[in-house]
Amino acid sequence: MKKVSFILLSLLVLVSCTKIIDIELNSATKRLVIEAKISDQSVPPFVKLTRTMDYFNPENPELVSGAIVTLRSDVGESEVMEEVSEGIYKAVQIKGTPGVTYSLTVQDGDQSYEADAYLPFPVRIDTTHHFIRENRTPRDNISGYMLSLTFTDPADKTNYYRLDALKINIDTTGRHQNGSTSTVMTSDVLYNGGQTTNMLNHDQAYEPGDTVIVKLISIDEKVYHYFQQLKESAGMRAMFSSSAPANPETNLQNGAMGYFAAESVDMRMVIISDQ
Amino acid sequence: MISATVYVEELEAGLVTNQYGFYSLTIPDGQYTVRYSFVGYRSHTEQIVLNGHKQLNVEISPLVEQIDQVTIRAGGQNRNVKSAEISLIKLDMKEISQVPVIFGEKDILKSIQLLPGVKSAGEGNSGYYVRGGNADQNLILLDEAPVYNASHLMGFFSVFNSNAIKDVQLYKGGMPAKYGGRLSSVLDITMNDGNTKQFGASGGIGLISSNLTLEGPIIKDQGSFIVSGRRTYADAFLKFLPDSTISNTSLYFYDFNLKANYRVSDKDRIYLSGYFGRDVLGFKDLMNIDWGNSTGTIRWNHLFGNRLFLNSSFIYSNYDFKQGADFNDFSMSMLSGIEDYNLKEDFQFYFDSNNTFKWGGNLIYHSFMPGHVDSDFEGFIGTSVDDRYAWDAAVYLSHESKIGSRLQLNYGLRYSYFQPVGPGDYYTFDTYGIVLDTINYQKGETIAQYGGIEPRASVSFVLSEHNSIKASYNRNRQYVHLISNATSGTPLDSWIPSSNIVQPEVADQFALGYFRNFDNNTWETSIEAYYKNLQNQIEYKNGADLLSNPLIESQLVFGEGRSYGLELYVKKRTGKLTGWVSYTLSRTEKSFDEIDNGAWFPARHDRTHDFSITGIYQINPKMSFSASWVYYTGDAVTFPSGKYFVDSQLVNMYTERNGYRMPEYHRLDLGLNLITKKRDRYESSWNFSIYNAYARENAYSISFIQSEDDPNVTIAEQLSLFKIVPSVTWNFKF
Repeated sequence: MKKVSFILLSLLVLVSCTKIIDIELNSATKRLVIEAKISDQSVPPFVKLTRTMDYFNPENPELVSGAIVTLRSDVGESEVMEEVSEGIYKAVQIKGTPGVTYSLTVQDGDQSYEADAYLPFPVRIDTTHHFIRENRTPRDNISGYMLSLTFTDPADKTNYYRLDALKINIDTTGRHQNGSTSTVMTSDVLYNGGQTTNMLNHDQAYEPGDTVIVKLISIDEKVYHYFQQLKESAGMRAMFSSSAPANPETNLQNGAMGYFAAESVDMRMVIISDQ
Repeated sequence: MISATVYVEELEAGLVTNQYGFYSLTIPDGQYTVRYSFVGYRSHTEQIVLNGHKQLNVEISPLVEQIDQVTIRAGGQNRNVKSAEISLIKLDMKEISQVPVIFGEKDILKSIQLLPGVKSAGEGNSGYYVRGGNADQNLILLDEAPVYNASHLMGFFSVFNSNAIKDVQLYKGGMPAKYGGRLSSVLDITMNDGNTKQFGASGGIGLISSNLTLEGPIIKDQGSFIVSGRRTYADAFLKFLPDSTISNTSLYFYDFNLKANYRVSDKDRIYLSGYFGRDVLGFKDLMNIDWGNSTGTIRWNHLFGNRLFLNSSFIYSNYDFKQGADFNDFSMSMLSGIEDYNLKEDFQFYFDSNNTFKWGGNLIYHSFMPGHVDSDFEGFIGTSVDDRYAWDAAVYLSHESKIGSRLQLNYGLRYSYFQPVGPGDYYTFDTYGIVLDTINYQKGETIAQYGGIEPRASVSFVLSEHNSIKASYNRNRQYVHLISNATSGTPLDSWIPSSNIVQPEVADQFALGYFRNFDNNTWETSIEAYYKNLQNQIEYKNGADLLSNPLIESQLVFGEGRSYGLELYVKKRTGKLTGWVSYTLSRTEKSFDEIDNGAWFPARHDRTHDFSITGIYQINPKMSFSASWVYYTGDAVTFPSGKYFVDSQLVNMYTERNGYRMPEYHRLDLGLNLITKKRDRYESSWNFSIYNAYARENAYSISFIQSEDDPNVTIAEQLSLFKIVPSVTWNFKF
């Protein structure tokens, strides 16, 4: 479906022109942006606080210091997170455990924000597979390898997944750096209890020798919808979108932007080989 | 001939013919002078002695050299003032052929956009909005068959080949009771019948399309046929482009219209009409997409006695979209569409010269195919949604009455009924659109029942020969809905029926107008005001997941709408210079509980001011010059009011739905029609046109994106289409 739009779009480009225009946008009241994550991995729970800014403001986002960030769980844990650097808060005691629901409270001045997230039980990757794809269709002006991930969905309930493929770049000094990430959102509405295969990299292709970290991330329903809508709004240009753009629906209460995600992760490292 | 005037001079009374050219007058015995007239045609007068029933079949011929003639003004020239019809637009096909258009392809859907109350869906687009209604709230009938997707090539062309069209009427309100099924308008298009006297051919060759029409008698004066075909070859130019993505793309459309009619007896006439059109988009041999409409109508006109006219129709409509893609090691296919079978009976009873009754009904069986996606890719889960089926029925009765010399009244009732039936799985959803429950229905099992009365009325009160006041009220119900993936129509749009979740849409419209003609009916003017209330309107929820979600109903929210406005229209009908000016002042708003907590917000196509002026100047009998200028203020649109970063990714922050406006739009088009040869049976002519003559860069869309150089810098990028598009077409006729 997207391909059709793409071809039609590229044909329209023939008779069209683009230019950068000046447009006056309202200056909306600044809102708190919360990026908060707890996972079953060894990374401690962390929260990053920033503020929204005017659309054409080219500065770095403002980091929010001095907030009181509290993490609690439904098994009785509670901890005030420590600000380790400007705007970054970490928990020291609480570790993400599958089956537990966590709540986050952020007190910023006289405003307070809350969110709950359930940390699901992890689902394991069955296998990954890569295969070559030529530059054959218009959308993919790229040749190279596609990577797919196969897993078996547990049948007992509705599951929500985020699949990340993170390419690791190795620079000239041999240091590893995070490269581009491809994300796929999927839920088992259509394949509950079955084995399913998803293509991970729709927008880019890999070269032989590339190192890719593949993650199968289990999340709860609200977090799934947040990332789903975030992805949808980021990938769209005005022309082919019909649903008017809107802020992604978040699990954060009281008008904050961002999310509080509880994730269980299964990871694999894939080195793309010649086939 | 549709809407020709039949006027009895002695009685100063008359009427107009129906859409089959039929009329019936009941007057006392005596000697009369009956005049038949129609704009652009030589009027015909017949002396009759009436002593009992009499059948008069008359043929009138077009005025060949219109400008040299003294224009005929007969009873009926002020029909726009006298009739009860309000909010009705009749297009003169001859006039349309002279108005400049993009690519030189004359197009009724673009011509109606130059009239008040009708808004274009965007640059070069054949999609239109009527009085704040959505694009899917327009009923488009081609010889009575509904056309589900009226555009070719992303909306840049309409599916209607002007060469095959005889008559176009657009009801913006006050629809007669015989029409139903859509909320905001009825576009009733009648195809040409073909020449009953002699064979003829006509055609045109243009830069991106050509057409050919053949017509002639089946048996002279007993029946005729017409076949018209059209093909674009826009993609021929793509081959020369260096970009392999584009030069390997094929993109074209073609369509055929055909119609035949035959007079079986004085009381029976049979019509057969059909349309078939396809768009094709391909990329090498890897991907092939084609889509289009086909419609077919079989009609039988029968006359019972002298005053009761019956038309029986069997109508078929189909729209489908097919996509196939072939990758290295797997392939994918997709199929979606809608298909209707429709049986229709319409009676017209000419009680006397002041009273006409119309009644009838129809029964439609709809099949909806929301989309089958299939692939042989390993592990692929087909995302097929069950087909949907529904019965759609209606009955109506209406009365057209003249009371005294001043009052004309058309009123009626329509009762419509809709019943979605199995087989299929139907769902209920939670607020996130996740399936709560699935119910399986067997074949023919009732899923839901909807129905209701639709009152219709319009009245005119004639103040004098030259001016009148008119008013109308209509309630319409709509049971099928278009779910679109884009703001302008695309082939991927799919129709869905009302179901356990989607309720029928309902509209109530009031309109009031003042009509005045000047200078012996040379000038027609009107002013109309309307108010429309809309229920059960459909919108996507915030952040709806459209492309990857087969259960589209889970992504919808339901609310209400309102629309009101003022329309001004001035038309100069005759003389060397003809043309019209239209102005619309309007507002269209919607409210949904789920969007901004139910606050009223402007609809995406809300446009405050919309102005156009069109002029045709006949320089001499062989040359005419035309120009049109369009100006409108920007549509409502949602722009970001701030930004932030999540996981280092730029995210736009929005504050309210459609709180901004697109930049204003204006454009000038010019045209020149030149007849180079004109003999008895042969005519050759050229049409030159320039679209967007002063190269205005109108905003088609505005995107908010990150600068490639610095991710912290965000910019607004405007996309414009069609700067100057010159075109030339050669037309011939023999």
